[in-house]
Amino acid sequence: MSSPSLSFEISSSEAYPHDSRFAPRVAKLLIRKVAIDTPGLLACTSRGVVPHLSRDNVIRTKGIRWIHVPFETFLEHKPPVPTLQPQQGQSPKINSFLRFPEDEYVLSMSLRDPADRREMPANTNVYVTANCIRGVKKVTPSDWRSYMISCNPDIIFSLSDIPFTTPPYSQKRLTKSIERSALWLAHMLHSGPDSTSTPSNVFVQMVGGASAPARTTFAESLVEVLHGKEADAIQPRKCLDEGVAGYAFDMVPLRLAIEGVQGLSPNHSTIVSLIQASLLVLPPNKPRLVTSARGPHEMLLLIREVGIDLFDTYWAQRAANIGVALDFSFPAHIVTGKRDLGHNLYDTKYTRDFTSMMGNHDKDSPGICLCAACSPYSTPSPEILRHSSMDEPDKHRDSSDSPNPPYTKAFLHHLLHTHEMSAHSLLALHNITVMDAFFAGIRGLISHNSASIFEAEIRRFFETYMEDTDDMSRMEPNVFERAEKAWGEVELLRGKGRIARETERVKAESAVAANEVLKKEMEEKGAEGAVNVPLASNGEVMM
Amino acid sequence: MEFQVIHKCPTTRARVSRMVLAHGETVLPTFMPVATQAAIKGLTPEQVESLGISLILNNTYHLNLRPGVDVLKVAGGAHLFEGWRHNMLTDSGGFQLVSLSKFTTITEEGAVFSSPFNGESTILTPEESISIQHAIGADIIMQLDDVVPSLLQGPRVEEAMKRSIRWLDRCIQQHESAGRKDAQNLFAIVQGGLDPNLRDKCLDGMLERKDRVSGYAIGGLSGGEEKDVFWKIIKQCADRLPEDRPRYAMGIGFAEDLLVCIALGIDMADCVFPTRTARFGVALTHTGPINLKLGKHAKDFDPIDSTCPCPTCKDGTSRALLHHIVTHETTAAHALTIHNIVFQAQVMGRAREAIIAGTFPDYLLSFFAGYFGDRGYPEWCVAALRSVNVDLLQNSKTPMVPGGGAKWEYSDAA
Repeated sequence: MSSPSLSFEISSSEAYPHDSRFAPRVAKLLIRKVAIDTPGLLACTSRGVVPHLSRDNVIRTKGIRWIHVPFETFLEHKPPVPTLQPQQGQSPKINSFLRFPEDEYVLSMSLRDPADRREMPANTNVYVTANCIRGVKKVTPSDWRSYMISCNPDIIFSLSDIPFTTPPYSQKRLTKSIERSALWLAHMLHSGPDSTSTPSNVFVQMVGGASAPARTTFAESLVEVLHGKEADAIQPRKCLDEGVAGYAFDMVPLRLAIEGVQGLSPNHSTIVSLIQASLLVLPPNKPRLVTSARGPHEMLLLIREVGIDLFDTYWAQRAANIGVALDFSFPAHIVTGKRDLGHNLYDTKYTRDFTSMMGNHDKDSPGICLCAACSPYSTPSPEILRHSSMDEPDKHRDSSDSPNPPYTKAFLHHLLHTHEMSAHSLLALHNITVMDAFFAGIRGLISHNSASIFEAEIRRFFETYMEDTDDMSRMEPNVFERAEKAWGEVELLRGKGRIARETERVKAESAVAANEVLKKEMEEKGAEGAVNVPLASNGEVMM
Repeated sequence: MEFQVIHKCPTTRARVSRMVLAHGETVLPTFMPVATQAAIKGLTPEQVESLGISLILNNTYHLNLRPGVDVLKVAGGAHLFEGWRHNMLTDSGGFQLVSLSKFTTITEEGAVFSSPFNGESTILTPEESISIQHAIGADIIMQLDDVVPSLLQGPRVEEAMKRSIRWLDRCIQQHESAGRKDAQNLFAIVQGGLDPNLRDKCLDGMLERKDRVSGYAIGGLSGGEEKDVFWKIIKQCADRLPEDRPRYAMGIGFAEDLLVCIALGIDMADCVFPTRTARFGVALTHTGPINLKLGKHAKDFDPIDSTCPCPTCKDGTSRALLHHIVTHETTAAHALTIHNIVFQAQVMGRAREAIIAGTFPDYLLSFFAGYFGDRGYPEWCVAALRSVNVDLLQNSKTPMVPGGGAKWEYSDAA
């Protein structure tokens, strides 16, 4: 059983020539009844579910129309449980198992979690190493193909040899990576007499690490016309690329590979040039997908410099995990000065801030956030569960179509400090919605305006919001680092031994405070023979 | 408060009633999920509301700590702060006297909590508890009672019972003089431990205050006492409590306990059990709890209960998927919390429906048969229901078994 094919239609734009290789473009990707406008997003999942969002909250988050599912957690059972899902009508097994209806969502699968940067044992000619809760598993191309045929997702990421050993990667290693990945792609596309079905929508993760020549070589091997046995294996296609529906670029291994090369740093221009090296010889009219992009600044540059169409929401979902409510838009808010991309809601300044997470902007700025946290809607009365004939939930309710008051920063602040899970649910659905609106804004500007206006708005975005970078020269931790630290402190405040830890901390703090008071007194009163009493960092007097 | 008994079971002491509070109507008997720190863990108010819940519990002790009374006052009360638009009940902080007793000293003035971190002490007086509950703004507020562990014996129990009556007076005084009598409804809490004489004395005292309280709770139970003692205390109190006041059994959550209490005349109960056990991976069903962490569910592609109306089951979420994510993903906790809240509401809702139809005894028989038919009816359930003219053993081959009878699911491998 193969999936219906995907169509990808790029709109013509006054601003950007239709067939240019590296330019922003607006397009529509269509699979079955699901249309994804690009540039657009795909949501990350963990163990098959969107983190923190139960099904009803996924439904409330309209921006989630494409979900990406790494397969590796299912390796914990042999055979993997989703392959055992009983067929339900015409639905692909993976959709039945994960409960994402196939005519409402695009579902893509890769073997590995693209955001997982942990070191892994080396891949070989015959298998890729993958992670599950029972440890490292070896997955062969045959395994992968059979899992994917069984699960039948809309989009399959072909098995690629992406090293997660310590870089730098030698020429030899990169060559292996290129050769294996091409071979395994051929294996996936194989439609010989012994196979009952061919997966139809295959995306390729573009390999070659931090070497532009290697990346180009891999791309060339996709478009190279094959002969003899190699051609037979993928017939009726003449080259591998004819069986490829889209190209994926994984930022995590790319950055790792770049960091491993002396003299190279993972800045925008390096990343852009490496991605361009992959796309140079490939047809420009196929979707280009980036995983684990590091925030809207990087995304804007990748859209402008390369023409990337799809981004996963890894960065936004991670922000939700550490208590940051994103608050930015494209075009940017009209504000004075430069601001953070979001709010670290652990900060005590929000204790009495009763504005919504994306609140308090002037009237000229783009509109309010429509997520289920900033614009919460009650379930319509007929759909509310009734448990007895006397239950009348609509009585005494004011039936209006407007949303309930937004969840406030003060409430989110409270939930974060009390370690309540609903904080992360509200933040996740908010942050994904912010990303969805971000891409909608981008599409609007690419479609209708001149290139110079889009460029100007990109510049203004960079001037308005501080980029989330790893910049070591930064003196102050940025909002994400501050949030992660605060999150860590709340975590530490819980669990076994916490009273002892908290007592120590309070003791240390009051010792420091007491010493400060004593020091001040001595200075003020000018104690006879007063000396500066040196204190160690823990507040104790050093002798 | 408007409170009206609509139907009465002719066989047992169960009744269906309607309670209208400032934030809407709640039909009784009902089970209240617990939103300890201003949230049902993992769920938004929109989600809870969609499940047909109209009354939840918030915890005064915790809200006073965080976010604190000042923030709540600025916010305009807990309803506005947490986004819950329907009815709310706050307990007084009394239970924390037991659960955090390592740090607590009780005096006539109030309960002195000393901070475990720096030894600083704060005192919770009846007046203070009521003030905090005023700031929270719940529709039903509880008196501060002097709670002792259920199993405690000796003169302390009587002291606590008598003090609870004196504290009730102080709570009433504070409540009325603050002018909140019409906006928020004060409930008294009957104490007296496991001693029927002390319970009687407490009832005597508290019934005298009937015109100044809106309802009565039965406290001091659910602390590990024998179930056979538990139901007798509930019955004793429910028999004497007035018909025209709601009766609230505090800390009751197991389905069998709830149904026995309803049969004995209880209208409301709260417990962390269903939501807490959900987070631990256990789904409640009409045939007993299912521990989704167990390997036996790894390849079960059926939902928890195909007849359950909750979003998790209606969506067809399989036990296999839940097994894969339970305890690893918060999403699993949310899915199971949603299911368990609906399970509790269904148990209570079907009870209401049966009382309305005059078939409550049949409902009891069929529920208990479905739930305990495979193991045997706990003796205490048989005895308790016999006291209100329902014989679980009639026409049944299911034996009786001793003990509390709480069901659990164990691994096949064990």
